Order: sequence, then C-alpha cells, then structure tokens
Amino acid sequence: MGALLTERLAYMASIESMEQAAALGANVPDKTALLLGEYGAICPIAVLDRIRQTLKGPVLLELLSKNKNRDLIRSSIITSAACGFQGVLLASGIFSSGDGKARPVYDLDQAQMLRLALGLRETEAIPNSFIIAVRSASGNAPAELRARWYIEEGADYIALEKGAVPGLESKTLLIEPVRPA
Amino acid sequence: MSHTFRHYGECAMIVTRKKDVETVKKHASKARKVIIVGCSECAAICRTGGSEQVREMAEAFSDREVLATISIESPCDKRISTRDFKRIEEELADADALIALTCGSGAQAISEVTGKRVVAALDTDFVGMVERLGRFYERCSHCGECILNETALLCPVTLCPKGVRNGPCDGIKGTACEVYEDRECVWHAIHSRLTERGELEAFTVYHAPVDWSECHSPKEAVWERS
Repeated sequence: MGALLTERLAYMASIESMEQAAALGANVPDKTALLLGEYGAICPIAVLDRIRQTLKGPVLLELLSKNKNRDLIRSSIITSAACGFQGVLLASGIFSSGDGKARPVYDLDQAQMLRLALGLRETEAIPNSFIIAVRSASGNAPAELRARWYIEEGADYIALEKGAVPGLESKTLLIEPVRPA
Repeated sequence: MSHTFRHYGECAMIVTRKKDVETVKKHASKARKVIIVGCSECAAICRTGGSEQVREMAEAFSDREVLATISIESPCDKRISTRDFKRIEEELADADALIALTCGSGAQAISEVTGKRVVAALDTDFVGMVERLGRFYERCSHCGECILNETALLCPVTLCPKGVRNGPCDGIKGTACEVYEDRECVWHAIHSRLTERGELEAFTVYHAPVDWSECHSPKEAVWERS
C-alpha cells in the first residue's frame, strides 16, 4: 500500500513544453506532491518522466480513460511505476478537449481502472508502495458513496478539487493547479 | 433541471437524418435513370424516408429520369424488399441507381436484394425510443451485456456520455452531468431511484468491463434449426 507524506497535489494539467514544465515546476510549494496531467501536447510517459526527473518531491501521473483502452491503461500504469513515478491518479478525463472531434474511448471507468491497478499490485507487476489514487467528486450522495467504495476496494487515496467526503479526510488529496509565477 | 429520466414509451426505432441532397446527387452523378426507395416504417416516422420525402427526392432528381418511386414496409427485411421490388421488376432492370431513403441496414439490404448501385440518402443515428413524433431518445447502446436490472432500469452505458458502468465519474457537478450540464447525471438518477426502492445496496455492485471479445462487428443472430 502506497503512502504520501502530503495532503496536497500541485497540478500541472496541461504540459505544452519542457520549458513550461520547468518554469511551473519551480513554483511547486514545498511539502507538496506534483501531479502531471495528460491534457497537453506532451503526454507520453517517457517524456513526462524526463520532466519528473527535473522536479523536486514525489510526482504522480494522472491517467485518463478518455483516450485509452484497457490495454494501454495497463501498460501506462506499469510503465509509470517502472519509470519511478510515485503513483498514479486514475481519472475518467474531461469528455471533450482539443477540437472535440476525436472518438472518446472510456473503455474502463474509474472503478474498473482501480480494479485493474490493484490487480497489477497483487501480481507484483507494480510495487506495493506505488500509490493508487482515484479522482472523485464530493457534495452529493452518489459521488460520496462511490468515493467510499474506492477506498474500501483498496485505493490509497481519493483526490478532490474541492470539498470533502465525510469520514475520508485522512484518505483525501486536494488538487490545486500550479500557477505561473 | 430541464431533463430528467423517465419512461418514455415502449416503441423503438432506427432514427435517421437526411443527407444533403446535393451530396446524394453527387454520389448518383453517373446515374441517368433512378428509382427512389422509401421506408414506410422507421424512416417514415422520422420524416426522412416517408412518402413525402420520397416525393421531394424525386423532385430533386427531376433533372434525371425517375423510373419509379416505391415505399417498402421494412426495406431492411430482405424478404419484404424482394417481394416489393417484384412489383417494379421492369423499372428495376432499367435503373442505373436506387436512391435509398432508409437506414444503413435498409440500404445494404436493398443493394443485396437488387444487385443494383444504391446511393444512401440518409445518415443512421441511433436506435431510439419514441415519446411522440419528433421526439426520439437513445436508451440502449446494444453493448451485449445488459445491466439494467442492477441500475433501476436506467442504462448508464447509453445515458452517461462516458458510458460509465460504475458511476458517477469524477465530473459530476452537483446532480448534473459534466458533459450536458442541463441534464441530470444518470448515476444520480440511478441512486435516487434505488433509494426510493430501498435497493441502494445495488448501487455499488461492481460491473466488470464489457467483454469486447464477444462484441465484434458485424454482429449476427442466427437461430439454430431444431
């Protein structure tokens, strides 16, 4: 089971260049883990890993199901662990981005991604310490019920952009966008 | 909330949209003699392939020779198409192309039945539930692994734009869908309905990913002869 010594994830949702990543990386507060998103022009894990190596502190990778089938999600989890990322945040991903004309994939939902990731941990395809977090919502009963399910199933954390799920405070990471200087 | 999930009716049909007439004529540019074929079932209800639309298409092809117009009850049924085309055998033999105001299945059935060049004049959208004329709603995606009995008869595979089978996703905004902000998130609706029924334990029953090894196109359903 993975653990982070922080309650906050500084979020770079969209990385367009190595230079931008380095500039934003300098603004990441101390005692904050960094979350690299896949919304920008730069998203292959190998390149994100180069960025990871230039940054201080633990770095998690946000994995979206909007643009991957289960095979690619599986290899992305294994690859990110092999590269040295501290963990992954499993998310569905904003439905429409770019010009919005691409066919969305969503082969797996977040619960199914979680089961897949936990299965990889069980078979030691990824280390036990590799963090598996799931993006969640709060403020309504179904979202909070699902968030509790994620934790009961074995997710290390849920991650929220705002609000809180009562009773899951110790298992919650808050996502805050990294601001340019 | 302007859109909530209710039972709309029991009738389902293939919903189609008209292609631009000039596009249709372009695909039939080499045909001098044509037959306009309509569908008196689904496309007629959609007002894309009924007798009025067949007449309009015939007018659009007035610069060619329209040998016949015909409305087939279910052009997608090869038995019915075969039967009905017998009524215009002579015209069919003479035609360069058939303009099909039918769904994609209908156009292909006509092609197979007649052996003629067929130009599809409609785009096939979805299989819809009919509330009333002009109000058609997609309620089933034909995923082949129905979970309606566990989701209070609301299909999340269809009613959730992401097709989430274990929801809601992280994008839910209050009670609304992330993608269609004027609509209730289907997983919120499922939660409400299960709560009303006292069946909330079904909400977190895990639904495995669809087994696509069983869902390849083209799908077939062929009965064994007993």
